[in-house]
Amino acid sequence: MAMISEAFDLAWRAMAFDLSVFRLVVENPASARASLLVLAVAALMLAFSQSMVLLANQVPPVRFALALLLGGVQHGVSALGYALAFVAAGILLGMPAAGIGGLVALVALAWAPNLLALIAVVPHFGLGFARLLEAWVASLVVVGLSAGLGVGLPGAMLLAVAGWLLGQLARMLAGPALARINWRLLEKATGRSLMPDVDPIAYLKSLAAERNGQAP
Amino acid sequence: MIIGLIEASIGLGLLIVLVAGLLAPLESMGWWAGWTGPDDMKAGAPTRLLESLAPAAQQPDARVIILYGINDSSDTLRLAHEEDYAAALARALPGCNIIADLFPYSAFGMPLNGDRALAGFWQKVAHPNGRLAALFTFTINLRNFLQVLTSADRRYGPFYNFGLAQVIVDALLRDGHDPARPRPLVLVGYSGGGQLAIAAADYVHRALDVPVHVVALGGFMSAAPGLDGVSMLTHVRGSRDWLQAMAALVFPQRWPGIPLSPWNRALAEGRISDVVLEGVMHSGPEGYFGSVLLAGTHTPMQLSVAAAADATRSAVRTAAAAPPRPAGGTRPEAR
Repeated sequence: MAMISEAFDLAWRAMAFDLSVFRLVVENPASARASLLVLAVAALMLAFSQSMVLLANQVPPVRFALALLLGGVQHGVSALGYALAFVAAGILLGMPAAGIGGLVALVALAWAPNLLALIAVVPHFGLGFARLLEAWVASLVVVGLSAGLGVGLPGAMLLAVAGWLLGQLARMLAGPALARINWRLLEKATGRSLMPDVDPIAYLKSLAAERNGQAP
Repeated sequence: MIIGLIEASIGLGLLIVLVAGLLAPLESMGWWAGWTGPDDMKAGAPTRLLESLAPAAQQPDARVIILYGINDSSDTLRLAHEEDYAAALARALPGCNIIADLFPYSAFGMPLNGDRALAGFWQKVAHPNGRLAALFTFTINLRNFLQVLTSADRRYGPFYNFGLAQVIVDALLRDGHDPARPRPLVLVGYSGGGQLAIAAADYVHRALDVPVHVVALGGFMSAAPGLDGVSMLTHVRGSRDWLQAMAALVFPQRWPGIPLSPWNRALAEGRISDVVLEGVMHSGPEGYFGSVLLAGTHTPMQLSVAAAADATRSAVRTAAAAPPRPAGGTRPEAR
């Protein structure tokens, strides 16, 4: 219970750009664990905010819940992947090391705005809110790296960009294989064949045309 | 103490709006996924109707479907001025069939007092009296406005609009639509109904091969992809209607700098015509269905009826001037 309370306290302070919390999660193992809880809940919220694509694919309720959990895990793993990329970028740039655990906690806490990701479900205005959350998280990653590692803002931005580039490189190299695994897992969870790139408009238009073709 | 109460009320209000917003897409998406909605309203119903309904021997000049504004709750709970509008339009267009019994704020056309968990509540608040009347009216408006946003959202819109197109297609088939002799369809949408009309238009056009004209009375419209299937959008707007003007700000695809948006494409192709009604507001006695004499000559209702009737006659003339359909049911050029 205390951990939940601490997690949400850390999350709100991080979202308000209270930079001391980023230092705290790097130095204090209990706070680092609490930040992982923030990441877990934020990843689940993010998965939920994107879950309408499952309904678009006419996934039944139980499998919907399974796919939601899987989506949360995938988002969480993706965040942790970026933490590893920052570690690698830090080594390449010769920056002060916080250790993998510290950077994971730092990135996890920077994900705190995604606790509000559910709001992205709101029609029309939710789309803009989703973009706002992305910018919010990106800003927190930069200021979090700066505060957590004790480097200036320019250094943190350099580290963030280098980490992001490494992350993209890793995606390019391992992405297709990971995407295939990811897709298989999702299809197992949803119990149906999903379209690789869901374009609802094209999909519906083809359905409409198909139905129209059945008409006498 | 009072400030605290006001703050708490605002907070509660925002929370209710947020929860309503989160739930809004669930009806249409749940219907699409097969989770909700009556069995006979599942996707594919038009095919069933096409097989079972015979076309009418006598076809009208055009079919006009009225989609009312966001205060709508059911065809059995319409306000007197809404009934008056449909009757006046029928008198102005004697050769046309007027269909005014659809509820478009549901992807499967289920009225608020239909087969729903909260039907009793909606039935009670549809025509509210007393001190809570404004709150109840706001509840229905909020619920339906969120459905308009669902229709305009690129994530949910294709599903919602497909469902609404099915509801419209069902209505046309019930009215005796003949695939061999398709008559022009005019969708008259008031306020949020304007958005729903343009959003569903392309599907209806593609499904039945009918030219679809839209008359938007103070339409709160996005740049819905459905506009691509609209032959002509008559954008009827009151000179004192600021609400419809808000839509041009709220939906970025309607901004002038985006030339490839369906709205701006339709503008460039001359498929949007503007009709300004002087002195008309969005709602109330001086709204589109209002009965106050403006400049001592016409009521807003008369102007709104005339605008829709003119657009319908134009649609009929355009269809009559079009080359005959080739034998074998080959599709004519779109639009």
